[in-house]
Amino acid sequence: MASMRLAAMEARVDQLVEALLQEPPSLEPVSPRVEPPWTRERLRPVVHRVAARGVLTLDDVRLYVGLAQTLGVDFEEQRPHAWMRAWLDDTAVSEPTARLHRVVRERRRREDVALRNQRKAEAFRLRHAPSGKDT
Amino acid sequence: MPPTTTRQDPAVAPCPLQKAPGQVEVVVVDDRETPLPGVALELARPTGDAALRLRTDEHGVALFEGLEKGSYRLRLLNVEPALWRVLGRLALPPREAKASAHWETVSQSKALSWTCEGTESLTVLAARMGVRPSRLLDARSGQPLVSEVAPAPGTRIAVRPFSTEWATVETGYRQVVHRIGIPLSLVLVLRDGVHQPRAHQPYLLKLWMDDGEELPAREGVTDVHGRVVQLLPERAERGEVTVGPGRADERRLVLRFAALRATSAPEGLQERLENLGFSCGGERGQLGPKTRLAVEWFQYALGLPPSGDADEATCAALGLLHRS
Repeated sequence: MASMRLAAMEARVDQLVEALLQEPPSLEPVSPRVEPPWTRERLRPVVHRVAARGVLTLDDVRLYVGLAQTLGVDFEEQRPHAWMRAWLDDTAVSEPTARLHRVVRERRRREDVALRNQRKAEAFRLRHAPSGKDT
Repeated sequence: MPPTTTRQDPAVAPCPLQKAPGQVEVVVVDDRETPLPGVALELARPTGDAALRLRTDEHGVALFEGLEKGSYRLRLLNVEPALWRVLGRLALPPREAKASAHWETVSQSKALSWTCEGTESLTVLAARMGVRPSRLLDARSGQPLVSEVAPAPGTRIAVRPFSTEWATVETGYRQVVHRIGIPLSLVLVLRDGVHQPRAHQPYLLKLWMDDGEELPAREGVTDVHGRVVQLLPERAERGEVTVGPGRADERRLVLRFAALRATSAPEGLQERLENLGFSCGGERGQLGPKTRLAVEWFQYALGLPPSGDADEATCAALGLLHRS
């Protein structure tokens, strides 16, 4: 029974990998990519990781793969992104897709805060720097 | 049919020698359910005529042993009732009995007061005294103090009296006590090259949490004593203060709020030097040339012979100046 479930999961992962590799590159402006274009060998473990958590629809898997493409394949192991793994494995939220969406929303929120802080620091500098000096 | 017996019947009453003395185990935890060591507890008889006092160990546990079975009264010593509560209790596994406890008289609450040095925020003082910040008064004027402002150096602080409260506990259980925390605040004294306070200067404070989350930056102006005073979230790990932007004396200080290592450890030395504005150029864990230069500057600033060696006198001075 367990081996049947495992085989079904592997087949689903293969199907998702094929679907993702067939997709044309996104035309939307995305943040700088740290990963080169996907190959089957590199994409499969990423898809496997998210599918093993119970996220199986193509749209949701694409979200996770997008994170991996922007932050690095091993982003869950990276110190600045370790909170994402904790949130993805947070059993207080029962639905795995809800966990994934929460992580994506939270990441956007954190990025917004960092951007606003950057602007605030520039405005602070402009406001308080002595006039006639190029800072 | 055997004759009926009752518990009062001397034939079936438990032998006094076999009677296991009761125990009360208390676990004190903070807001994040982390055990708190060194918390003073008092367990009193219901009559209130005698008490036992213990401190929690490194696992946040205090075990009152050698008690008669029954109910007792428990409290955290010198902590206001609003700052602690019993969360619940768990049955204790049977343990080997111990000799009877050594009872003392119940402690009386003392009047608490403190003279500020100007580097402590009201929340730090309140946490130290085991009361809410709103309970602190200026001892001279009798006026309550504003929590957003750090008291000026030399201010005498008094605590508005509070009544102690006891929780009733029973032997044979582990009591889980929540010591409610007070959010702590940062007080940073900024001085210029001639040791004068950098008063009324704009600053920008950035904060990062322990999971790397960046919080919205805060702007402010140093007070007349050159102090930056801000409330910190409990999970704040590091910060960055920029003061005097675009000026010759612009400074950017990187701060670490998490528990620091000892000054004798290279990391502890570097963290404190960085906090005091002596940059170690990103060196961590080893005393490289940049750290030696920072130590040399620190020694020079303090009038110590600038050798660059983190000797005992330098480490002691660093700990004193950093106040930790």
